[in-house]
Amino acid sequence: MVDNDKLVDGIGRRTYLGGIATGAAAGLAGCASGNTADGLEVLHGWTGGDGADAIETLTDAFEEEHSDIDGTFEAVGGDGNVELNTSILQRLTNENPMSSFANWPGNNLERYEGVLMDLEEDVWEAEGLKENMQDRAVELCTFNGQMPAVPIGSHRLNNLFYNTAAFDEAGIDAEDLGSTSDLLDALETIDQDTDYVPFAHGMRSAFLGLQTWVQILASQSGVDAYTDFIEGDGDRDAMIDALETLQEIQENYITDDASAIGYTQAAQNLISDEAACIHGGNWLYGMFRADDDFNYGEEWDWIPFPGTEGVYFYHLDAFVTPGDNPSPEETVEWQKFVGTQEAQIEFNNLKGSVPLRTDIESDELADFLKMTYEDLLDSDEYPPTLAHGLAVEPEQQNDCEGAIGDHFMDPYDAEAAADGLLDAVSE
Amino acid sequence: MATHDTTEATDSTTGPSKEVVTWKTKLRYFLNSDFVRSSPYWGIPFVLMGIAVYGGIGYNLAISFTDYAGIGRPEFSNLSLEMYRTALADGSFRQAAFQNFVLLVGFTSVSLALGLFLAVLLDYGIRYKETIQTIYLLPMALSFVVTAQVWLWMYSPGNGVLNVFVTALGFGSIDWLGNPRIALAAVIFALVWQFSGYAMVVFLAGLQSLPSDQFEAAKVDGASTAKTYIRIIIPQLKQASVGAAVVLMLFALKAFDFLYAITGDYRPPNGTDILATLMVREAFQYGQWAYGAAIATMLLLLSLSVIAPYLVYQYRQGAL
Amino acid sequence: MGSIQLDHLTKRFGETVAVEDVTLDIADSEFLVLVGPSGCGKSTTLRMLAGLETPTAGDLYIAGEHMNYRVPQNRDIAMVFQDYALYPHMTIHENVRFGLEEEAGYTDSEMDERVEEVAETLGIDDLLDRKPGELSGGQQQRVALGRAIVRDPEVFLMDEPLANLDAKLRAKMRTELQRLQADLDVTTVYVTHNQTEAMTMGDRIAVLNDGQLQQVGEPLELYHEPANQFVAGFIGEPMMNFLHGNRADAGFVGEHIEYPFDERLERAVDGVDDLVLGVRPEAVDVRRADESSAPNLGPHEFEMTVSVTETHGDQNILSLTHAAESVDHDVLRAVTDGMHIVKPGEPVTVAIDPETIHVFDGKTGKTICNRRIETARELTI
Repeated sequence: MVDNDKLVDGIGRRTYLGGIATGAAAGLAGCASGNTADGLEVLHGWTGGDGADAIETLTDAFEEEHSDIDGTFEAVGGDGNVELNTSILQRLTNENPMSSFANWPGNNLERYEGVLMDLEEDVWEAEGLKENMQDRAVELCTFNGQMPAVPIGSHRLNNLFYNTAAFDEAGIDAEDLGSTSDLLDALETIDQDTDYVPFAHGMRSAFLGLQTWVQILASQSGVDAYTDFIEGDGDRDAMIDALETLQEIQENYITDDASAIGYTQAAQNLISDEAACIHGGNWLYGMFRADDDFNYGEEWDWIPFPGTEGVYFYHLDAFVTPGDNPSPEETVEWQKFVGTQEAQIEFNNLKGSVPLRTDIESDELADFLKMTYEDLLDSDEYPPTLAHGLAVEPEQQNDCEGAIGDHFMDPYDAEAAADGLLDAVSE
Repeated sequence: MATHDTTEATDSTTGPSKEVVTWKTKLRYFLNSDFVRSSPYWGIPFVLMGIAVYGGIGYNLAISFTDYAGIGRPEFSNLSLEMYRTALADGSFRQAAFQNFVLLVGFTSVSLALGLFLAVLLDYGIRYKETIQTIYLLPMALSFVVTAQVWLWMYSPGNGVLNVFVTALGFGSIDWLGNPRIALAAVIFALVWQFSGYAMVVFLAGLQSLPSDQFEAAKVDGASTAKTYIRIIIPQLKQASVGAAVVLMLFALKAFDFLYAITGDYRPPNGTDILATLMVREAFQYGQWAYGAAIATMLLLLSLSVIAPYLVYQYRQGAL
Repeated sequence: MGSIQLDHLTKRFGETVAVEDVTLDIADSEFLVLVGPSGCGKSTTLRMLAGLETPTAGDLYIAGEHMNYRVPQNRDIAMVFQDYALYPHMTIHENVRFGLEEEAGYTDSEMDERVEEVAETLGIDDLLDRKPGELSGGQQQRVALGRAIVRDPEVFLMDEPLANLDAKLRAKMRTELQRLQADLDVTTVYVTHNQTEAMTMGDRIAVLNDGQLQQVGEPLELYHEPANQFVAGFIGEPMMNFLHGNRADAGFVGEHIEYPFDERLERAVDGVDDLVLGVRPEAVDVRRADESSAPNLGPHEFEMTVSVTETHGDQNILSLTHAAESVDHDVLRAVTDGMHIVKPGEPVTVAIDPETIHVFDGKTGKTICNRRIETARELTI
């Protein structure tokens, strides 16, 4: 209790107050951590493995060429770009945009509607990219009359990677697998006649099941069935057939711990000679390539997902630019660089995706990529991936993942899942 | 001071010219009172808390009445309860709320029971009491993230510790976290492992504060040990158990960290979705700010409804 | 029958010996008081009787049965604790009823009847619905008693039950307890550190010190014929006067006083040199000093000055200092009649009759000889 009459205490009190105020001010100042970086700021989701190597090569090359630009390249981790998207969303909502960020173009750009920067004039036309980029890529980078993105690499989604030793042991010739039922028979044979796990599969995240289901649907009922579905007019029976096939695979031919692992570990099963085959995007190629004992054409080989010959299931990584850009000039330089041959070759060779420019010497790419690149330029159909943002809007994609997550991750309810999927795309 | 007051009183009756003095004096007294003079001390945390916490809650509430989603600014022109209506109609919300409730009740009651049991054992005086106490309390020192990783390994369907036991006994390996029917139970078990030490400590303190001659009197009266505990000792732990229960329930509401750390993304294992994970998913993955805010508000109300009876109970105790 | 035998009972806590070789027989229906200073082992002995401690050595029998290892639940005893140990969350009725629930042969309604019966006897029947926290100290104590009584045990054990009551209440309860015990006719072992309670309440008193039994006997026996200096000093309020000194030709030479022995004392003391003389304050005779009688002091008379007078109403306790020296500590205390008023600073003549002297061995403390009691006159009941 302070005695009212003592003025001596007054000084103590004032000093104390002053101290508090200063402290608070300092604290608040510290808290307001500004991204006051001048120069280029790029966010991406490649935190490890092949992706990290690729982006590093890309950024090194850029900094060499444009040494006058001060560039910050930040990786934000997580499966399937989840964390990256959250960070981007927060930044853009807080009106604190970065210069550029890696993301999927196409319908995925829906979520950034209204805050994108148009690069059509400054980059696409200036560099003549409209002629030099693969058609589908150009389409996917156009959104709402603008062109806010430049593509860097494409992964193919309709792959079946297989362990040659396993197939040999089971007496299976991969070329013979022309349909999903062929695949199921093969899996059964492997299961009966060998010790291999027939199908390596990660089920931890819903999108993994979703992407495999898409392949089965396209394989069993044709790409049109898939296209109809993403346009809101899916054939329920076809969808249920595909779901039931997926269920059959997931119940019989995968490892016990599938529901706890992701695709990295599943691929690891293939590499360590325990599993026979795996479906995934060809980013898995990046993992295989990292292991020196596991080589294309020797220990492992590739066929398009049974039933999808002549089809290139499109996935696209691009660099997208927010409007109200903090560094418009530097950003334009960066985006131009992304579209150059050099960038595309350097990045993709390490990443395991293929470049989008049509004027690249395919010999400059690794063997497997060369084959994929040629298919990119020369396929019959180019359906866009569902699980990676190109086919439907983000909200619809989320709902699709939700449908799989809620109804198709043990226990399996094909009818409910099909209904969920149909509801998701019909909004 | 008393005489001063009476002088003032009589002064005020003598005429309006004196009232100014009275008013000023009162103001002076007020400014010199403990409340005002101490205000710089409690005032600063109050303001900070007010802005950061209560301001945040208020803004959250405001957003929940809009339809704010994605990038842009919220529009406060058209306020409605639509988000709440949507939430209550949504199956996954109801599911999450139900699972949240099961987690709350299950986790709290099992932790209390286990904590009480061990406290009784320790109080009874087994050997190595201090060591056992420490061992039992250690898991609380772990962060949720570490606990999640540990249990992820324990529960692994391939070669997790638990499945090693299960298969050794001849059963097929169980997918603890993958099977929606038992996933929630598995999560509750892991959380109980981490927190029942807290309940044990609270009960032990309560037990040790009871005078030992009650125990002796009961013995002399002829009661067996079990009866003594059930009739005499445990009923006197009501205060302690209410306190422990409230804290445990708050821990349960915060189980978000654990669930997030298990999967590494916003979608916890099937069957274990709770309001907190749903809220974060809706807000930060899907950008549905208003919907997420509505869920957050409802979570707040749930927490308050947990605390409120306790506060009322305490108030009544104090008022007695 | 509820008789108790303690046979060479010993209790050790680690290195410390709390109770050492206590042998004691307690008859059925007897009220025995265990008394002694703090730490003397009386509570430990009681707890061994209750079964809350196990004897380290020796044997314990209640009603003829060997009880060393029997749990308290099976001993048919009831105990009243110093802080009552009531169960705070139960009503008084439930508290009292608790012990009955373990007794065979009572139906629920019989139990309730018995509780009400006992409550009436103790005057707490209107408190049955309250909780212990709402009761005063005296009421709580009676509830504790009721809890013990209701079970009709072989033995009552009481551990300083009156210690937490105020003086008036304590005095009142002393009488009540005695009456109760006489009515119920149950063997009672009562522990206290208060010698007044011991003297007034017990059929017999057992005095303990440092874990050892000093003396056991009827109150007046201990008062007039203490077995050693400790008992002599412990029993009796105000305390017996002790004068330390040595044997001299004529009798005794102490620090301030020379006291010639009479024949009885001479014979008893014999050759012992280190002596302590004991005399009870009420046996010290005090008269106002006359200047005229100053030089004429008898062999057992001394001149002293009163330093402090304590007025008790019924008596006065005087602290006396030796007149000749200006010492500031008191040599003797004397008790005089309440009407006999002496003021501090007054010179007085003090006379001590040799018949009233106790002599103790200075080294061992044992009694060498006690005062003479003329049984016919002084101990008529």
